[in-house]
Amino acid sequence: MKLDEVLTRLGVKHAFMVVDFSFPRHHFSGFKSAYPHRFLHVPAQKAMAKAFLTGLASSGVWVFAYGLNSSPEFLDSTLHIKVLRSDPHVDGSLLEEQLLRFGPAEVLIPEEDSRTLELD
Amino acid sequence: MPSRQEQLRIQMLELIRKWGSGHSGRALSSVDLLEALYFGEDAGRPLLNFDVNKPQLEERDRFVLSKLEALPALYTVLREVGYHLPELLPKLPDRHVPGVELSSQEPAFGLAAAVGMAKIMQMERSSSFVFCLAADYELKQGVAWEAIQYAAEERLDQLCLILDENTPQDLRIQDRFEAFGWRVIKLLDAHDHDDIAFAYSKARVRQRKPTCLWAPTLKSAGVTFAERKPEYDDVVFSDAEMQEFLNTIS
Repeated sequence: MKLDEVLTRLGVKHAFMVVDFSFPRHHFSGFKSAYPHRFLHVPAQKAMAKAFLTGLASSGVWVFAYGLNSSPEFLDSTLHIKVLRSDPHVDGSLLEEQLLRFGPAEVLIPEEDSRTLELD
Repeated sequence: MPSRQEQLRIQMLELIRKWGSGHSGRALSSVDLLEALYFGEDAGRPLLNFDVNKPQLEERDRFVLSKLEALPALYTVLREVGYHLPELLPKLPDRHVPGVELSSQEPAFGLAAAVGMAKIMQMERSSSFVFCLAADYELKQGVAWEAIQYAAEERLDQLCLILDENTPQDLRIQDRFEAFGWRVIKLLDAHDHDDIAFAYSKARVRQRKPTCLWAPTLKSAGVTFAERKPEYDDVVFSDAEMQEFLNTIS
């Protein structure tokens, strides 16, 4: 399973946004080329990322964030923000369900996904 | 009869007294900036597009409070403009309160979130605006400058940062913001309704860059016996002080 492919496929049905905080280069070249207006590359520190994501999501948009070392705590439980972080102990079978669940949360993705994500 | 600005000051100071804690002097410096934004007009049209009966109206302009000490001032203005606020109000901005756009607890958080809001407006080709009130001390936070830089890079011209500079320092606001690619509008009198409203209407003219509305304000503005006295910055007015203020108005 490749995360870029999963998100690109999921993007057909759901109008979410992907924000990549990786530095210096971004991932998700497939998603970006499929939905250029739903992808942002914002190399930023955690504090900026937390506030920026809150601002984006406050308009009601679903936001999936990648590239943060740790998951920030969001004050507002009504915002649909998912922070994607890799973990060697998950298989990713519930990924889609976890991404679509309402509210802010950390979603663990299989560690291989981090490696197989192509850099742009 | 007290003017609207005086009336707002009375209500705000009473709210702080009811809470038993607050930053009266610091909040007083922002009252006129908020009053002009919510009540100001440009050629008969309101400067801020909002509907008190539809707080979640999609086409509304957003006001984001980054300067946390000014929350009593915001509540007072929201109530005066017609929002139905609950009796018990949270002491930190909470998005569940009608008219409050963002839940926040940290300095400069609102500023960076406002940049996020302006970005989504740009991506969705919305014509709405984001106004954000921040305090001068928030510029000491790294996140503030990260957000300021990003806003300039992305040419977020639907963003207007209202910078309440109530502690004159050598911040070189004009130079620094212009160096980042922002447009700066300095208020001549940051407590004059017409002057502030005119600046807001200029800020709404989009020029492919974000706008900083530089407001050199006065702490405890409008309360003559407390102006320029730092001991009133973070206090709750006593009964005697409140009475003295009411006497000066009448």
